[in-house]
Amino acid sequence: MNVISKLKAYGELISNFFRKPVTVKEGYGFTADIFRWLPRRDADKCTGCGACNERCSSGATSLTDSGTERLVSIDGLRCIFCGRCADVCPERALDLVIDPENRKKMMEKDPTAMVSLSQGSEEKKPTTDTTLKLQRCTICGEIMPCTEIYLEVVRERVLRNLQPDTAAIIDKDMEKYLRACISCRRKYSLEWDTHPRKFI
Amino acid sequence: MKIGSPIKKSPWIYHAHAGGCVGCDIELLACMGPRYDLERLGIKWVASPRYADILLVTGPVPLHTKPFLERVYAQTPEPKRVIAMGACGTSCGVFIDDENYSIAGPVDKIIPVDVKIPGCPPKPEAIIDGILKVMRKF
Repeated sequence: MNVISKLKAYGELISNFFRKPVTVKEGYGFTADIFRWLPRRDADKCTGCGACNERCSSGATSLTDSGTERLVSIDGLRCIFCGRCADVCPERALDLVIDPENRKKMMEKDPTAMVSLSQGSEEKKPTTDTTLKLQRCTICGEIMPCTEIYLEVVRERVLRNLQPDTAAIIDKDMEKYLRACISCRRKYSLEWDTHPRKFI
Repeated sequence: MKIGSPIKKSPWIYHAHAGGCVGCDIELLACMGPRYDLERLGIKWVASPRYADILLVTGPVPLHTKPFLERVYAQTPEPKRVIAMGACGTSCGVFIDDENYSIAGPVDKIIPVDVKIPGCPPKPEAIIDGILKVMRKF
């Protein structure tokens, strides 16, 4: 019995010489299909509505209006990859899944792959930025706090579920007042006959 | 006196835990496990800042911990570099600094930071990447 257990131990010792190492090459490795990374924003789909900003759990997203442009950005240092922005986005413009090309590089252990978002003191902050144009009032020329694409989306969404004859009336009204600022709407709504009291 | 790049191969790291959940710290433990095994690269965790070359700080630094972190930074011998790790360490993460009464701000408000590793928590690959980046700064 004693001899057998000794032989077993020696067998284990010798087999360890021929075993492959468990460790992987540093800096690369396996990433799951659903691995979460900094959200990527599809710039064509984004309307700048700010739903992601409302829902963000760590205050990483921000909307900043400067002049005629609105900057929608996600701060990579503050983001905790919870995915609430992607859940709430009405246009489904946000995606947390890692860039497929980069992921393929990581899996193939390509040294040019971007492994992490780590930032040196003089490097640029990892962010996701989209710049959108703000709408100007067609009458007084004042800048409105919403983007051009967003108004088109609102118009589509309002007309989608209406009866065709009602939609025709509302569409005609919307042509005038949707691109006017709030003070202009107040001033001219009676003149244009777009005031809601005409329906009463 | 400034010494030119004394550390080329084997940095010793002191891990300072400054508040926060222990998510980042568990990910650091995973770094020392058999899969990633940082010790084979010569990267060693030490028990005292007196031996350390690199200071690795996790957590959003509460007011209570601020003097200790300053002391640990002062105890680390020159030349030294600092890594801030996790969403909390880099920018306070969910503990937003303007609204929270008990947070002394992210790490770079208190001590100079050389490399930031974002993520909640960051992957072991990201940690290794950050350590390799800070080694180039010596």
